[in-house]
Amino acid sequence: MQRTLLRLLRFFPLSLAYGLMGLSIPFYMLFDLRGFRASYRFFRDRIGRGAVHSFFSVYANEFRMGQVVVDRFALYAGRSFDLQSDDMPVFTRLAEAEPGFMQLGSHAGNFEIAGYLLRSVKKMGTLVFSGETDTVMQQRATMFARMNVEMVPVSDDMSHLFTLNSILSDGGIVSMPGDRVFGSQKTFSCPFFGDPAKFPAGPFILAAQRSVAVVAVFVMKESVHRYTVLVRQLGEKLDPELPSRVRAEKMATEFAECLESVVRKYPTQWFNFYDFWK
Amino acid sequence: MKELIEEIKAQIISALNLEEMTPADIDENAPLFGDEGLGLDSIDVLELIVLMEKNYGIKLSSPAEGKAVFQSVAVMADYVSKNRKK
Repeated sequence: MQRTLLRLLRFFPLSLAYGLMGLSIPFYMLFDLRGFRASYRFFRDRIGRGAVHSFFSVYANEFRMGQVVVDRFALYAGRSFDLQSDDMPVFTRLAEAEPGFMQLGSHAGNFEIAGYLLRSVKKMGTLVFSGETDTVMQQRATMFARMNVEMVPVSDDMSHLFTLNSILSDGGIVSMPGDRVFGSQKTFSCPFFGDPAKFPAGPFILAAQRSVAVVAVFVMKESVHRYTVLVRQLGEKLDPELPSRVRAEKMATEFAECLESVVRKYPTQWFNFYDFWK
Repeated sequence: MKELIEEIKAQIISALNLEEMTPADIDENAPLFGDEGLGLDSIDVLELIVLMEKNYGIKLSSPAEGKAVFQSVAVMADYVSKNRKK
């Protein structure tokens, strides 16, 4: 099925693919009630929309999610997208400097596309999670092999931690999500849309311990072929003499602030379909 | 060796922000991970990897190595004394 999709997307107009995908969304809304409820509550309680507006926002949210997935496959199929950004000097400055740095993604927008389109001569290690299909993993591997990107799977024996640490100490880039708790259950409680939410401590502790720069990267869909890349450097004003755990927590709080401001601007591109505030 | 053990205990307390603990609270022979001893987890491993690299110039590159070294403070101290580069 996914291979067929890849073949079709080589020549199939993207807008037509989106249109067909959009037809299936009411079924998802009907049968994935848990996802529907989480998304609906997000628009009602966090964004403050009315009941009807929230219902249609759930559709728009699912549609955006579908577009992001189609775009990923379109990239695997060899298509390209225009990236526009006023923040590229931030990324370029860090990419051209000697020390390694971390780039944190999120469940907002299409973070994966950043790995394929943000070019750097530095080696990049990107954390990947199990659960993707073989086709997706093969396509990712093919794309990444061309770009000096190493996939680092999360593993029970913690080997991913050694690999990520080694990439950073060799001056490379480590790319991972900043809003997904995995492996260690250690979290920082950060204000997010009016209530405390749990953010993973790991990425921020790694950055603080190694004293490397951290950027939050958001790749947001604007139109069929265009994305906007937002890059925000975290912890720039932090006192380096503070204990690393304190610096880590402050960076996590800053990340949550950045994420909230981006999600407020692009509410239908928030793809975290569970109760983040539990 | 006793001095090195105390030094490592202090570094662990500082790195992991264990404000409520003193070096005397840490049994050097107790396991660092799991329910007994300090009960550290994977994020703490990360801190210990960086601690070893920054303070002693020891680069641990595999989980097997880490597992062997991070058994207890005493084992860490023994490994540091034999492999330290600074």
